[in-house]
Amino acid sequence: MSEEERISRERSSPPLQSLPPPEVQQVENARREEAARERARREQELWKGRGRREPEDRRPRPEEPVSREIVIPGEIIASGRMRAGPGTYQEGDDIFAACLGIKTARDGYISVIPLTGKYIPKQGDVVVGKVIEMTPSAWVIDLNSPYVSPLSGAETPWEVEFNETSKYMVIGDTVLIEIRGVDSIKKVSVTMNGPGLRKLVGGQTMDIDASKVPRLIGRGGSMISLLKRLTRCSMLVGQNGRVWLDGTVDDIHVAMAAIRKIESEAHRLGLTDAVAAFIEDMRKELDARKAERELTRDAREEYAIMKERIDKTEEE
Amino acid sequence: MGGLQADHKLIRADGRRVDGRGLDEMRPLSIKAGVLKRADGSAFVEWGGNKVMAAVYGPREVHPRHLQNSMRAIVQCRYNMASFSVGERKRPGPDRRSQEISKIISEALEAVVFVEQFPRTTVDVYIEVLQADAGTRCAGLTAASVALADAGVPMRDLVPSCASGKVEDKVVCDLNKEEDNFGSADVPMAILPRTGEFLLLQMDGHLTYDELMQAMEYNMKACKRINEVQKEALRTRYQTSAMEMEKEPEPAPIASIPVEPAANDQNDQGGA
Repeated sequence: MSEEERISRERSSPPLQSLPPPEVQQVENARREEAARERARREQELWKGRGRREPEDRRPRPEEPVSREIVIPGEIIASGRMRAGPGTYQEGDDIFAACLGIKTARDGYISVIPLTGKYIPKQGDVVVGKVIEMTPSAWVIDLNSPYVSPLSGAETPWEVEFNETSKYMVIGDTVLIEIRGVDSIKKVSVTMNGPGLRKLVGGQTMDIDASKVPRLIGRGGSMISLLKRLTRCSMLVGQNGRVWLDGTVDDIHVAMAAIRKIESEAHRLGLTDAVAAFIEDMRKELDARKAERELTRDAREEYAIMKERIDKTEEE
Repeated sequence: MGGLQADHKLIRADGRRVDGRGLDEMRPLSIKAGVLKRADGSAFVEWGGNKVMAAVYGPREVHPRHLQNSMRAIVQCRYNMASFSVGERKRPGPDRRSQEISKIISEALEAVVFVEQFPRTTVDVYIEVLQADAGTRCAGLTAASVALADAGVPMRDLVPSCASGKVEDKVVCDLNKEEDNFGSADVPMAILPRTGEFLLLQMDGHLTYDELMQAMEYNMKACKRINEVQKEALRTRYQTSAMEMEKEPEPAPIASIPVEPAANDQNDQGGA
């Protein structure tokens, strides 16, 4: 009994030398980084020469507002010469904020960039959709928006026979598609014919607030490329606020936490550095936890062997 | 005239009211925006003894489909009082009164939301009264408009709302429970603070023209103040980091689980 206690106490604070040696960790990290580089290279090749950049880089992003003044619906934001941009409304000569957001003025237009809000489909947006229903000739795609859209077999790269939609995609599949058009009552038509547009195989998706997408991408794609590099994940960000990620379980875990951080602190300045630090911290913590787990396992095994030995001597 | 007979004076000898307020004073009000994580937008209002929570979802698809309007969005509000919100247990579920309040709040909000921007959708507003102390429809509407703004729904303005009434032949601002129960008239009102337009005006009981004007005057002044509190709530929402809301309990560190000889160790022993 006392022997047992002694051993168990010893084992609960295991000696340090049973940590995986640093060389092994280094090799492991180098191998993973190499794999991530390879993945990024392949992805780049995929986009090369297709006349378009990656979907998240395609549209002009709103410039970072200088003032960062938060305005509230009904607040007067300009009067006189300015013209009313998105997120505002005009009455007489005065322009008022229509939603909670950040006031920006550019090219004679005053607009409010909303801080939150649902995604409303817009022509030319590349979005990550999800198949939610199937008909004999089309799939119904959820766009993370109040509006859904049919994707007809003709709008895919495949020759889809009538009644054979399920051969290509089933409910729950994820697709990268482009909004082809939206009419006045917000009926949306989408297409999967286009460079890079495809069914997304594997990976995971997460939904963020669509108004935070520009922040997640960052100016000139700075934030998203940082995320991809540090988390070693492949990522696609749809304009609809749905993100598709692929990588190892741990990498995806880190990436998702980082994306949630960006989403909740989108209005903060200097977020890119904060996110880099956050990812590093999280990685350290994960590595430490993993090492500890290994240690615990080692300790259990050693204990079992020791006990076996003691029992044997006792028997003798 | 009207109302029950109070067994004590509602206006004290010094001209002040039962809770010590002057005739034109409103009760203390505090609003917090973004209190619920799962809703698209939310707000919590504490107004005197009232505690009201509002949650907004949408714009989203309309169910059942026949309610949808192909030209514009609809605003659907559900006002509900918790069974524990009042002294005697309230029978849960929608009743005549809460249906009426749901309807008038839906209509008031539909007038401020840019409904034509979201055809075929619905904006759902849920108002839960956790504790009632008179003027809950006004507190609910006040909370709902903050929740709408918090959800990022485009709207013309915030909607402050307040109820004044008549107590012992005196017009008073922002009735409390006793004054509401034993007073003789109640005038809830909601306005667009930017233009002073009315979104809601009801009257329960009898008032002369002058008294009604006086009550509306009180309401108007109170609404302006309420509007300031609403704006402040939305501003502070984004000044204090939203991270606090996202925080979840940390997983227990694995090291803290002691390595005790487990049952399977004994099995190993048996094997050996």
